[in-house]
Parts: sequence; structure tokens; C-alpha cells
Amino acid sequence: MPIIEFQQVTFQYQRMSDPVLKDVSFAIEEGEFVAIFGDAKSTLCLCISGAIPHLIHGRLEGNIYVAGVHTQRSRIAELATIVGMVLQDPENQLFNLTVEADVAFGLENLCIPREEMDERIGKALETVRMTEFRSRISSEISGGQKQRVAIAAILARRPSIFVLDEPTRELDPMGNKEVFEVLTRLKQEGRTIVIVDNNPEFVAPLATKILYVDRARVHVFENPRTFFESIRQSPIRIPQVVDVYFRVREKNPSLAGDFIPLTVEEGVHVFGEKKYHRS
Amino acid sequence: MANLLYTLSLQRRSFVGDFHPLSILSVVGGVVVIVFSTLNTWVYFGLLVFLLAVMVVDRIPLKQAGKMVLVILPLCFFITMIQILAQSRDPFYAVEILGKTITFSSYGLELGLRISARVFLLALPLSLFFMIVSPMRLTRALSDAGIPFKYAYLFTLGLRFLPLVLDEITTINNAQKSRGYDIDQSNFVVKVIKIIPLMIPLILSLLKRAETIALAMDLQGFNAYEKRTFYVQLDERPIDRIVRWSSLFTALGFVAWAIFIQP
Repeated sequence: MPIIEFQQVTFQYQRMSDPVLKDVSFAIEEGEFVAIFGDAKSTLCLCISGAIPHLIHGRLEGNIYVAGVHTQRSRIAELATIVGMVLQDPENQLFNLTVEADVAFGLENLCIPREEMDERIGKALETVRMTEFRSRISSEISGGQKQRVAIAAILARRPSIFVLDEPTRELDPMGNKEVFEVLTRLKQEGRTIVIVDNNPEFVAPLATKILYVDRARVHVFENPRTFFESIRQSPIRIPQVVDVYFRVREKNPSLAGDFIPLTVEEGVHVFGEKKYHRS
Repeated sequence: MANLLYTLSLQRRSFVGDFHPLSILSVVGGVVVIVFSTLNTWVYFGLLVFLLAVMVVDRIPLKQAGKMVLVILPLCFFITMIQILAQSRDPFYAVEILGKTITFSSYGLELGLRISARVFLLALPLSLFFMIVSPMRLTRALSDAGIPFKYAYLFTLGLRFLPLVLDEITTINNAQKSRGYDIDQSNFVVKVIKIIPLMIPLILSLLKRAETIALAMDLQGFNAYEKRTFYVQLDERPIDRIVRWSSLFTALGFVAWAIFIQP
């Protein structure tokens, strides 16, 4: 059974005249790392987490299932144990005064017994490499560290699905790197991750599936390489190494070959052994 | 200032801090009642000694309290000057200005200093309270006392986001300065008028932030159930009950003394 399933989902915000999602159907299997590109990316994330329709109102049709639970028929508290969502600005996700209290916050809300909390907090902070910051004041840590704490707060709740809506948008390059290191570890642990991010360099090598939202419709690509091939003419930013590959292929197809590299290492492998002659 | 006060309580455990927050609050309440019930110099001196002893026992840096004193010093000066000029008893100096005689009253000076001492003795225990008691322990204590958690939690939430609000004000001010709208280069009245256009982007930004914070809290299951568990543990010891009852009886005793005995 897929861990996330959309069945003919249509959603229109209250004050908008047109739906932002129209008749959307797709399935995500457990352990997949799914990247979302295009329009209405945040809307998709909010639908998966249950924020739509419980917290954000509009007209929602169709069925959304997460871990077999119908999101419209379940309470947000139940969905919070299945889906953990990270938002764009880490400042708006840490409400307490210390890192430890922030990680404990969700556990307290969900009535997890006190005896279990210590172990969960410890493990969560260890996964995001923030154990030494446990007693630190939340406002005194960096943006990247705050976002890692936000991820730890979700990890402590042990959800089946992680949804991240532009988690690195407010971060500097160092913060970016820190967050994606955590996501790489989570992927290696087999977690199901759905992410929206404007850094295709970081996202593309990790993604096992791409959802592309175009004019309210969702197109599913099982392979990031076929996705980047298909959106070449669109304004969506692609990884630099992919851009270089396409430009080289245009000038000299034999030099580029058929394999689209997603990382610099793959790019070196594709181009590294070729000789380039000036005429 | 709020940032300064609560960070100390978060960075360490202390002897006084280990008392139940409501016990410490009862002592503060008792001090406040005593301060309001009398203007007696010796009582005030005794309270000051008591509060200084708390600071020494709890190893609160004098520098922290010193900063609080600096904040209220202008207010105390203003209060004293008002009393010196407003009271007419026992004048020690007189000056003629524009045909009118202005007298400086020694009774006013004494009264002003006592009122300033009252202000100081109200501010000091409250400041110490926030330096000693972690806001999260206070939230737990208030929640245990029957106040719904979402209201008890407001204080912690406010302290968490106060630095961000101050940063936001600075950012908006700098952005407007870069457009030539500089309120710092104006006199007081013009400054007050010029602040109004700065409030609009600030309010809009705070409203947007509040919406996102509310969403993030709901996604973490906030207020999903009537009851909740707590990570912070509070122990109510027998000494806590002794402290609360002692504070109550001491405060009531001073009120009775002030009404029936004090000359």
C-alpha cells in the first residue's frame, strides 16, 4: 500500500476563482524521496500534512491518504503522529526558549509519557547532530541549527512521513549544507521524505521521484533525469551540471553521451575522460 | 531587558530557583504587599537586605540588578523632583522665576525618596523573579494551578518572540532610512508622528508571522487534547508550603501593623 496516495484531488482556496490542484492522482511508496517542482508546491505539502482542509479552508474534493489514514476524516492531532512538516522560516517553528523544550513541545502536545520523552529527545538530537546544543537558548543558535532543531522536533514524534516546504529558503549556504546532510542521513535510514526546495543541486541527487505541478495538474517522473530532460524549455532552475550537460550536448552530442549527470562527480565521470580539441 | 532577565534563569539551576515557582511568586507577592502597606524607612531597609541576601545566596551578578537600577533611575529622579516642587512643607530653598516664588521642600525630598524607594523595591523583586524562575517552570506551575495551558503558555511565547519583534523594528527602520525616511534626525514630536508609518509594515509583518506560528503550532498538535504531559518536572516539597504560608502571614501581619499600630 502506498504511504501517500492522492485520488482525484481538486483544491481551490477560498478567495480564488480557479482551483490550484485539479484532479490530481499519484502515489508515493514508503522510503521514497520525492521532490516537488512547479506551481502549488506548498499546497501539495499542506494537503499531505492535513493542514488543508483542517487549518486552511477551501474547497477540497477527492481523497488523500497518509499511511492508510484519510486526512479529511482524521483529526489534526492524529495526522501529526503520521506526518511531520517543516516550514520555510525556522524562527516560526521554535516556540520555546531552549532547544530541549522545542524538541519536547510536540511530545507534550501528544501526551507522550514523561518517561519516554528523554530517550526520544536524545535520539532526535543525535540524528541531527545537535546533542551538544540541547541546553542552549533557541534564539542564540544559527538558522541552519534552528532548522535542524525543527527537524529533530519532528523526529522525536516518530512520524512515518517528513514533509519539508522550502526548509533552506531562509538559510545561508552553510545552513543549506547542514540541513541536506541531515536529509541524506534520513534517506539512508529509509524515511519517506517529500520536499520542496529551490536548490536543485541538493535535491536532484537525492530524489527518487519528481512531482511536477503545471497548471494545476501533477506530472509524475520516476527519474529526475527524465524530468530535467522534459523541462528544458521551462523557466524552472535546473542543476548547473545538468545545464552544462545540455549545452555541451547541443554543440557536440558525442561528447555528452546519453547519461545526464546530476552531481559534479557524475559530471566529471561523463566529461572527465573526453579530450577537447580546439580547431 | 526581558531577554537579559530570563536568559539567566535558563542557563543555570540555583538554590532559590529550585523552589516551586508559586512559592517564589508568593514571596514576591508578600514583598509587594509590604511595600504598599508602609513607607517606613526601616521596613524598606529590611526588605532591601532580604533581597540582597537572596541575590547573594542565588549568586545573581550585581551587574544584572545594576542594569535594572539604571532603567528606573530616571523615573525615581522625576518622582523626587515632583515631590520637592509640589510639597510646600519645610522649604529649604526658594527661587524667583518670572515673578513667581518656587520653593524646594525638604519634606517633599524625603517623601520623593521614600516613593522612589517603593518603586525600586517593587521593581527589584519582580526582576529577580524572572532572573531566578525559568519561564517554562512558571508555565508548568500556572498550568498545574488551574490556568488553561494556552494562557499560561502566552508568557513563554511572548518572551521567545520579543527579540524577533525588536529585530523587525530595527530592520524596518533601516529600510526606511535607506529610502531617506530617517526618524532619528528629528525632534521628539516629529519623531512620534513619523513612527506611525513605520507601524504599518511592522503590524502587517507581525500578523503574517503570527499566522505562520499558529499553523506550525497546530501541525505539532498544540491544544489537540484537553490534557497534556510535561517535560519540565516540578516538585512540591514541604518547605514550599512553609514558604507560602510564611509569606502570606508576614504580608497580612504588616498590613495589620500598618492599619492598627503604625504611627
